[in-house]
Amino acid sequence: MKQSWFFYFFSKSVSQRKGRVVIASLSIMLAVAVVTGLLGITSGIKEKLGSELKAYGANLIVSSGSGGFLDYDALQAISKLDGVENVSGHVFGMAFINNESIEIIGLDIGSLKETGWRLHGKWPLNEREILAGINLKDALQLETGKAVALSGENGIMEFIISGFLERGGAEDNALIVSLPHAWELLSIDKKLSVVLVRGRAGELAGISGNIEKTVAGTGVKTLRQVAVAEESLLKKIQLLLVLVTVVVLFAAMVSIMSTMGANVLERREEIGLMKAIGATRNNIRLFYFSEAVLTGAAGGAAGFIMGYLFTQAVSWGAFGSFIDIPLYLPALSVAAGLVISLVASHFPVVDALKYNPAVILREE
Amino acid sequence: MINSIIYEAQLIGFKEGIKAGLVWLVFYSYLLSNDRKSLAKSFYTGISLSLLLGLSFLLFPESPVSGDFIGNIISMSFALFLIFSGAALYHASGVDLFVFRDGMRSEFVIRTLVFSLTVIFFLPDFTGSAVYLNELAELKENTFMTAVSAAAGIMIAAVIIFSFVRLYKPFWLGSFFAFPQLLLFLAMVKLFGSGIKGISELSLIPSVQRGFIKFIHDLVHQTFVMLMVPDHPLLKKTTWDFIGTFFGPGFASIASLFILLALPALFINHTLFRPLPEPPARTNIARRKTRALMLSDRRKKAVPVIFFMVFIISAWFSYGGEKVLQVYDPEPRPVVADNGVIVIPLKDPVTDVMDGRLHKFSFVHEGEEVRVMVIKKADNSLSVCLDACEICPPSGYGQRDDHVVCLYCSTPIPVNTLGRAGGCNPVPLAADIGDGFIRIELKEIIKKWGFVNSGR
Amino acid sequence: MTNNKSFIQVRNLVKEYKTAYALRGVSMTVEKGQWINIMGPSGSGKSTLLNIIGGLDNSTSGDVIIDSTDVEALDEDHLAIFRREQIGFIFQQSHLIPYLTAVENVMLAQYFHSMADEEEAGEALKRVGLGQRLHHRPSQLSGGEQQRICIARALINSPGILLADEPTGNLDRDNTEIILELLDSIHREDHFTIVLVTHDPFVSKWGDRVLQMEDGHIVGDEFIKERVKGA
Ligand SMILES: Nc1ncnc2c1ncn2[C@@H]1O[C@H](COP(=O)(O)OP(=O)(O)OP(=O)(O)O)[C@@H](O)[C@H]1O
Ligand SMILES: [Mg+2]
Repeated sequence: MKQSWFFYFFSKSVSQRKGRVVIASLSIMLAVAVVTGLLGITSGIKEKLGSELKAYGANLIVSSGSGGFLDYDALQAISKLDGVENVSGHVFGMAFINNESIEIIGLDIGSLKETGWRLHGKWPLNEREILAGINLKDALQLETGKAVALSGENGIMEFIISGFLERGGAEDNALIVSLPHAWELLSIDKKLSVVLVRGRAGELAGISGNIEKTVAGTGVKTLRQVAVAEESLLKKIQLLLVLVTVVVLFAAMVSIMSTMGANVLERREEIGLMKAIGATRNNIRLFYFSEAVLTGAAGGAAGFIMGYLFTQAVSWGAFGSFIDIPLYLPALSVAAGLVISLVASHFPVVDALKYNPAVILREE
Repeated sequence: MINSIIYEAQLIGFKEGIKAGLVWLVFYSYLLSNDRKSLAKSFYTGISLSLLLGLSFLLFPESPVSGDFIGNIISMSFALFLIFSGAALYHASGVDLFVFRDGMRSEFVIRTLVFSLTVIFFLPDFTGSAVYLNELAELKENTFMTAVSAAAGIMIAAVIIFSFVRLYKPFWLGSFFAFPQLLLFLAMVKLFGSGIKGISELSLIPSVQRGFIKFIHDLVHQTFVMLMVPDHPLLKKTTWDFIGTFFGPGFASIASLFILLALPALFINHTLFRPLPEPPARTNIARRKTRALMLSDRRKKAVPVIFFMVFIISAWFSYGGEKVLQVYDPEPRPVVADNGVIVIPLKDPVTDVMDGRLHKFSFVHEGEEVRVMVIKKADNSLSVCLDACEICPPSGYGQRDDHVVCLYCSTPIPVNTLGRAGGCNPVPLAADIGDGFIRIELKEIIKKWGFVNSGR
Repeated sequence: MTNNKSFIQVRNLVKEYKTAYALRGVSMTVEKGQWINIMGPSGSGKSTLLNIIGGLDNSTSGDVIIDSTDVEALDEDHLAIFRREQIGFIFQQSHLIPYLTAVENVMLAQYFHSMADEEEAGEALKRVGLGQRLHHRPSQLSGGEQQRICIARALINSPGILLADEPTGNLDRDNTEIILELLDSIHREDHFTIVLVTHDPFVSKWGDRVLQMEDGHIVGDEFIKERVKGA
């Protein structure tokens, strides 16, 4: 006896129409591949962009509207707002080394560790250690471990340079000290020049409005290059993704629907006969949906592989490195293939169920 | 904060409600399809009694039993149902509970069986949730609100289950269950919904995983001792790396998954692949028909089991490696000896060694880093040990819940047993604890650290 | 004429199409084990009657009661179950599945009924004289042989009724005779009821009884004293 008659019959019936099934699978494969590829690329790019943009630090800059200082409390207030991922308070000012004026930036040095700026040397371990911009190294002949004397409004303070920072911006020409030291050097009491805010991409307008409402008398500007690039890129990619997905899924559905429709139509006689010899509606559903599952799963799996290769090829071209795709993607691809083919098969199968065997079997 | 406590209480009520509702639905459908509706009464009595007893724990703010104790009972009742289901499978050999009846001949016995299974199933869970609710109530200082929130959760669950049953009348579920499958289902409900740590641990899986991992680890350990593999220090690094994989959490996790899947796999084998008995029938056609019925019946009964296997595997991996096996490994804080004594403050602005977390301190002696670890035990005493044991290379320990775990060989050691010497235990140190400081003689540390390293 | 205990009872059956009536109030009964032939000119409603009895089609009004089951009252799935347990069909065209072998075509009917059993299906084919043709596809067999597969398929689940719509319509005299004799000998052994539609008087010599139809009415009903091969 055959182990499972159903599978035997099913496979015979499918292999009868190999071409059709393969074409249906292919159309699912293409759809899934495009969607998988796009998903893989966007999530990969998002991650890459995210980490690259983080290096810039922030996408909003908050300063006092009147050009003066902000209260330190504003920092706390802003950090609690919705959509704010990160805040850091900076105070800018001038100090002197050997009568040469040097810009100093006071900030929370610990927060720099997350920015990904390049550091030559070590992070400061104690209060007396500070960082210097890389350009000062040659200009002032500084060295790590060497002491510098800074003169500010309140006299002279001694620090040890623990390392040099390199960012490729204005910071490269400044000394970076902790906030309390900056306040002491500049002789101001718990004030900030600016607060740099990293807000969630896509919500910047709302966030800056909230900041202006929360902290009176502030001006909020987006760091244009950063914010605009980040937001518009993501938006464009997402829009593209949605559009292409819709089109491709629709095309795949139509193609499956017509294949299945032709399949059902072609086999009217078979369906009528099966009904006449006692097949219930579930028997017939099982038969056609099995074919849909087969097509969907095969197409989904093949589509995933194609999409994966596509993603990696694009990533290699664009970033020179491979992307980690999310773990759920293979499962999602197969599921998408199944959904496409089951939904598309639904209508032809409902048709098949409606056939009146008396009418069909009389034809010829 | 307060809101979140209310939500959590609600969630706990909801969880218990859904659990009870699901079990009721499946059991009742099972009874319907076996035409034994009358047994539902014993079930109702059992569940009411469990609920009353469980709720009575709410009356004792100082619970007479600890959460851990109930946790253990729940794990045991899970194991009980799991093992029972296997036993039922083989004793009744796939036949129904109600065939038992012919042997027992007593309605009373069956009623008692249903009643006690119900109590065994629900009482620990309800009690556990009640005790946890008490803890919540203490945090919020409002027993009444907590109880009301939990009750609201139960009501929501009841409404959901009720309307689901009303709408879909899913009593056909009964045809998917025979008695062994029913017990397996109960075990699975426990596995997925009987954690008693509120939101942070709704399911039993993490603790089952931990239990298994410890079990497997001990087993591996014993095996190697039996095989008389010479003590670790004599082994080359590569050999130890190889053997070490068997001690590692990855191996233990996979092995325990296999153990947990063994029973369902037996079920599948039993229900799907054993040859069908030859039905007595006059004609070919009648025989075919009976066989087809038998086939479709046993296929149906394999369905829930396959579901469970899929659930277990996916849950295992979604919890798996990350949450359960993660260890907390703090940076050691540098300390210096003062007159030959290491002094560690119990509390300073940055750390509080009594906070229940693992704390490490280090100093450099003759060019080598020496580490000491300090952790609070459940009885509020402090355990002071070297961050190394006598056997493994001194990679140190990390903390995972109420265990410290050897970072080298993954042996988990309950914090409460710290202080024992030998084997995989961290080497205990004599320390003087008082007036806000821990004082350890430098000599003591150096001597014992030297002992640790002597094997290398 | 109506007998409440008859195996097949048809009462006042009307089938109306948009353009025409196929049946205009047909009543008849068939006893268990009887072989009845329905004759009549083309378009007289023979096939329609047969299909309604077999539950393939539904009527506009009237009752069909088979073995005390009201066929018209069954829903689609119960009708399918009723068909696979009670009815075997043979059509003018053989309606075999082209990519399945002879034995597999028979097994398909077993599968829908309960489960496939190759040995039993093979036995059934031997019984209709196709023991040597088990693994041939329909296209490799003659019309007469194909029709014999259909007989095996129709009878594989021991139905109470065999409904045959011009089973020999596409066959020559010799093959017609072979098929009818085969049916006759199986019928003598198994005693199922046969309702056979034909317009060939040669065919109507087999069987116990002949019904004449014309324009949706039954116009004649006579018993055959003696079967052709009976004695
Ligand atoms: N689907 C239909 N739509 C409209 N009229 C139909 C339909 N099916 C059958 N008829 C009509 O019903 C009548 C009876 O048809 P039926 O097939 O029962 O005749 P028949 O006696 O079997 O004829 P034949 O000997 O040619 O097979 C015919 O007049 C036919 O035209
Ligand atoms: Mg006709």
